[in-house]
Amino acid sequence: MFIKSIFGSFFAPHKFQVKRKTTKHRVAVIVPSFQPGKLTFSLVQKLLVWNKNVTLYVVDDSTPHEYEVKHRVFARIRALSSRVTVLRTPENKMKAGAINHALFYILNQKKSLLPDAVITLDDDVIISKNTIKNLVINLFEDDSLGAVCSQCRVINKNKNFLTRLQGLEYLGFNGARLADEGFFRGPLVMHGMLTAFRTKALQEVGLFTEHHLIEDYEITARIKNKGWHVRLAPNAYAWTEVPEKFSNLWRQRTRWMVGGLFVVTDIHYWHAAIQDIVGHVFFISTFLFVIASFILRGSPGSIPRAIPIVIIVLSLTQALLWYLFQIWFMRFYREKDWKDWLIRLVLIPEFIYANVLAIVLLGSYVFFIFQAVFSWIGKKSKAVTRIKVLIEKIFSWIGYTKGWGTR
Amino acid sequence: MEAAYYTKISKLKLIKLFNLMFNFHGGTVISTLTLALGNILAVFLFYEVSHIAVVLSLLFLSFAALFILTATLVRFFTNLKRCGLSFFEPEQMPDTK
Repeated sequence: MFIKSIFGSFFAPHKFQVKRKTTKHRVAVIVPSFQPGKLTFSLVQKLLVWNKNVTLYVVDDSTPHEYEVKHRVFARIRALSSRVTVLRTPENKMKAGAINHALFYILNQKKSLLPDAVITLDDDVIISKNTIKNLVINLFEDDSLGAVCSQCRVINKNKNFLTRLQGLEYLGFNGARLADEGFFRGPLVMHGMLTAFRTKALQEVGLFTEHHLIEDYEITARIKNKGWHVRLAPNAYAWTEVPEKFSNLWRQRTRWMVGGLFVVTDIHYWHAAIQDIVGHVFFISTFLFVIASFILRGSPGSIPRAIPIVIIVLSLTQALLWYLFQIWFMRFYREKDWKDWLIRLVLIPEFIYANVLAIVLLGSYVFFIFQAVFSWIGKKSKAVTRIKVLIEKIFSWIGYTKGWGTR
Repeated sequence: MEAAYYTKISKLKLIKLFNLMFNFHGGTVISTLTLALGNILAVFLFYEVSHIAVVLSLLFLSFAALFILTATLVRFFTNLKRCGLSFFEPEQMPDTK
């Protein structure tokens, strides 16, 4: 029965009810910001103009006074509407801390003033007219939904080759999120770029975890732990800028991957991170396979011919299926041009890109093991502490650290 | 014979190491492909000098990978049916200038 239910979950996603669509929900939007620019001001303006029912909380995460005096972004935002509240953190708290600052304010209001949904988004996100509306409609379509996120698209994908690769990768993320709808309570991460949370779900799980490398994955896991489903909202589009330099991309990915490992090992409910667990199991299996091929030695002619034939047939089917799907999937990439087509068809650039990301993940494993070993050893002696500090410095130099989060 | 055997074995390891590097990036187009192509290459060139346990584990991995891929595609199309093909066709990319 258990195996049947697991097997069924892989092929038959949970079906959601579709209630009557309504937009009459009270919505609070939190925009955490540090040293905001033009994009933030424009985002707040659009949020107000396009969404008459929302209340906005812009959190100034202790932007230096000199910066505000020079650019006056928060002052201009405050003057936009009475629906905007600008809060300021007592000290720089990073993104999760800034969101918590606003959440604390919102959730401690009188019960009658509590919003039905809280939306969190990055301050440099670009939205369209219906993004917020569609997000909210989706969230309340089914009573089991605790959070829904927007689709992510890349605004600067034409900037250079690296951004084009990320554009294609983000398209894959949206596809994976759709495939994961209803699969063990939904996609792995309700991303920090733009997600709508049901207030009740947030009240159940508490605030965002501060000083976590990827607070969005962490809170998604906790929401799923409490029995809520999450999913991607159809027709809720948001655009973001991706790193244009390799060094920035490297840092972003080390944070994602190391943070992901900490989430997977912290959760108490394996369903919440099933996609990651499957990935790690595959990695470890292949790793053990390589080790075994080093140790075990066969003799010519000892393997029945049928086995390699079956492996080849299975693998060819897999390769063909995936390649054709990816080509077909390009129809949903509205921003594509011939260069994107070329990248996808020839495979080599994405091959190299995936290889680089794999190196980042391998490094994350090493960093994770290092952290685990030293926390197990503890502070035994000054020498051990000195060694730990030295190794941490080396890791930090190549981008692996626990000491920073999302700005 | 021995030298040829070891050359083959070391090439197998090399291919599998490359395979290892690529296979766990679920979000990229390459991951599934390289896992499949790496397995095919390994089998084609070196199966006869590999240990049966290694080949059997390769068989299991190939089966598991195809299972997961098929399940993902089935779920994708089931969910896409609910949303309709317009799901991935957004409004025009906003002008940020």
